[in-house]
Amino acid sequence: MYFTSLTTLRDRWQLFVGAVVTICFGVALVQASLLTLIAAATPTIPSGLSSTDELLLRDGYSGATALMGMLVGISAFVAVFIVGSTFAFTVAQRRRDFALLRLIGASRRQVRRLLFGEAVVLGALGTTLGVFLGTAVAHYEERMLVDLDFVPPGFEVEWRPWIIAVSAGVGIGVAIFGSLGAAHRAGRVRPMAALSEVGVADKVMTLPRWLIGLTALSGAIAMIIVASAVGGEGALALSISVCLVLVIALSALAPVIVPVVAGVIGLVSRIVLPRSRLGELIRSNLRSGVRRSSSTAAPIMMLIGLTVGLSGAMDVMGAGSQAETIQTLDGDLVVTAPEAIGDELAAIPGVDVVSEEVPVVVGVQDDPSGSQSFVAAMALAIDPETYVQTHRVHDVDGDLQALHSDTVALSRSLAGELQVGLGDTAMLRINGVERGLRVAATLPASLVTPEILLPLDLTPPSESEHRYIVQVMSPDVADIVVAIAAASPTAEVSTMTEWIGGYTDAQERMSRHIIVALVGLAALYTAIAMANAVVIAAADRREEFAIARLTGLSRAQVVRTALWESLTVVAVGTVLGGLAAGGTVLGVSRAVSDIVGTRVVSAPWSLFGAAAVGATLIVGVTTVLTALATTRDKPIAVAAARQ
Amino acid sequence: MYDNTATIQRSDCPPHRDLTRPITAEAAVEFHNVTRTYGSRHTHVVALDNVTVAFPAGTWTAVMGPSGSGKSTLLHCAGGLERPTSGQVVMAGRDITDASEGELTQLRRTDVGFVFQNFNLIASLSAERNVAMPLRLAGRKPSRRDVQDVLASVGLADRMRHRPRELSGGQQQRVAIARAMVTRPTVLLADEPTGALDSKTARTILSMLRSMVDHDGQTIVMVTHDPVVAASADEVLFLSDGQIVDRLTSPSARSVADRLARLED
Repeated sequence: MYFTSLTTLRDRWQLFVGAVVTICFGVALVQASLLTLIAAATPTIPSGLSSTDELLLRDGYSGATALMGMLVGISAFVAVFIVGSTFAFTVAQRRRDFALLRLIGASRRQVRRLLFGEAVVLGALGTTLGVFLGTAVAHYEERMLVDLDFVPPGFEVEWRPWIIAVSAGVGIGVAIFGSLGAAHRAGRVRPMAALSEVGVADKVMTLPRWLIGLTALSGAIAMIIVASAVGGEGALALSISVCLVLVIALSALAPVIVPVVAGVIGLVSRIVLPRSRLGELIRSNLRSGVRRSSSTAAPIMMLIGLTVGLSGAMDVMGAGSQAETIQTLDGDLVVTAPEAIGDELAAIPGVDVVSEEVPVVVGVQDDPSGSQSFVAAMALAIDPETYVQTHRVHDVDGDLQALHSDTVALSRSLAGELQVGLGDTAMLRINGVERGLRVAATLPASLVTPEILLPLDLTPPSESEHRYIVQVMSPDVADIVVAIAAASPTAEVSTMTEWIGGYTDAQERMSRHIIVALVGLAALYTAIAMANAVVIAAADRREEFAIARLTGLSRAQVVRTALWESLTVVAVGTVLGGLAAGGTVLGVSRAVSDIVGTRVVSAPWSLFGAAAVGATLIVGVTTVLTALATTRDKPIAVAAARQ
Repeated sequence: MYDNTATIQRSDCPPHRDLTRPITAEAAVEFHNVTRTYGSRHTHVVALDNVTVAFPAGTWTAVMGPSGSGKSTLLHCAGGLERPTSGQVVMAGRDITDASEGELTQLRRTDVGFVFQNFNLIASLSAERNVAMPLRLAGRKPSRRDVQDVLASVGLADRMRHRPRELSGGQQQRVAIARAMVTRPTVLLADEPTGALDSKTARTILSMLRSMVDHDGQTIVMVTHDPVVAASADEVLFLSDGQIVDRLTSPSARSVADRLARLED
């Protein structure tokens, strides 16, 4: 039976190459991310490090582990999505072939088995290539984590032979999973379908498709509501899920949405270009080629939804923390210095209040049941009197002023995790020494205030940076800046506005890098999938193009028609992907606004534009090239050699 | 020879129908009060209206009629591709009206051969493999000999390795006929088999079909709109609005054309 499938390779090579490419890339992505995840989760910590350095190093690794965990999740999801959509498309494209087989005596099971065998063969082929590509991707991810400063330069992703089994499982499994629905549908193709000339258009919106689409849609809406209730870090993690689930929902419902959006675009184009003679043909092609349009739109949606949604979420978080910083800090100057210069600053005439704050890395017991493992956490050592003068802190339970000697203030979420309340004792490791500290105050959720505040006298003189929030009395700030420079040559002085600007820039850079790390490869994958879908779609249109030319269209007009069709599909994909991204950003925005207390909105329009332009270029160029290739032969030769 | 009754076991059929006694032993296919309607209440179309007819074994019947008269529906019902809305279709003495999907698959493997206007060959397979395909699908290992013989019988012994695209229209149709005949079906169903061919090639195909009926006792049911083609058959049925309105035995092109003309008045 399989020889049939394999001999079809000659005619339908685009379909098979497309399937193998998507599997190969998916396997490579998952394999590399998994290996890197394992390497980050099982670090070798050199001995002889100071307690703080060890904590920091472990913190970096655990950050890398979290990042890679998300990357594995995204990779696996995108792989299943893309391979599934590619397989479904390749089966839909061969509907008439299957009907023909059924007509000459193939049973449903034989058709299903044919596709199953095909999935295994293509899965194995894709896996083999993917394992090799995966080692290259792993090197890339290794470098990426070093560049992001999560891990030290010597970091290496180790090759583990058993990963081949995992990759084979992923590659073949995803191929089989992707072809399951398609195979089922192919088995149900009625032999009658072979009799009609064009092949009765397969019903695209099947009941399962409706179910998946509507379930995912309501799930996404529920998650957006939950995200705004959870808030904080929970919201970012949730926003990734919202984004992916929305992409599922919209791509499942795409066959319903595509003709509507195409109709709207058609209407607009009729008004803008009333003399377009091809408009009618383009519109009807889009209507009859819903499967084709949806298959091309799916990876576009994924690209836009993922990149714009996640980076929008990060932007909102950034804008939120900037807004909160501006709201919270009440000072004129920010001075940073490598050593303590609080007394010198206070002595300068015109300086009113000096609030010293020193970032310290401490260990918190991550398991309250009593195991001795500590994880790193950022704390801020402060002087409570000046701190409350320079920070507008609301909604504090307990008394921040009581933060002296063996006490600590914790964020409410951390206090909840450690299962301690006001007056209880929390175990912290400070500079290698474990200490029980009484919880003097608990703090509300915040994007900027560290989760732990310590009294300054609790921390040893450390080499870490000292930061001073300074309030001045005199209106002539410039004089004071000069005086500070004179008093302490090592100090760096900036105005509050400058400092917040620099802080926000640094944060933005970091979040941009993280976005690139998270979705860079997935975006590349979707780009390949787009080109793939176009090539697969064109493979089926040789005859259609030939007939269009026989009815009077020039070759250039055929290519132009195909191009406009594709561009409309890009527009549809962009709009739907934008909706998915919008939903995500909305969810995060509500969560952040809740924390900050004012409405925070931020939309990454430039990225959105860049992604849309990228998709347009990829799809446009691929369409023109494939349309030219499929119209190379004389139309009469193609039409005469039907079959 | 092939045993047609072996493929659908009697025990597979629902017990309430009496299948022990074929209704007419010498008919390959029989229609009993077959009605086929399409659409819902608003777009109600009656394609076949209470048709009762028998296609005797070893004869060639042409079905004619204006477009929309139900010709194709009749052919599809005869081949188990469509189920009648009511009535019974009996093939070689067995009621196939309510046959399961699996039974219909068996039917297509052994009892029915299809030939179409547009050939419907598998483009990627050689002529030989196209012909062998129904046997392979039926789980039989086709001997090279069998396939060669069938291809030789349609005059394509020297074109076995060619793919459809490398064959002329007439040759492609001969491959399609060879493919339909390789299982020695009870009935060969042909839908405008010469519709895409020039008249000379069409004549070759028709005389080939004629000799299959005369020498091998093959049953053929053929839909056509061409009086000349219909004249090759033993009997012509005229369909109009889903009903058999006329029939003509030993037809000539002229007599068929006359009847048709009268029908359209």
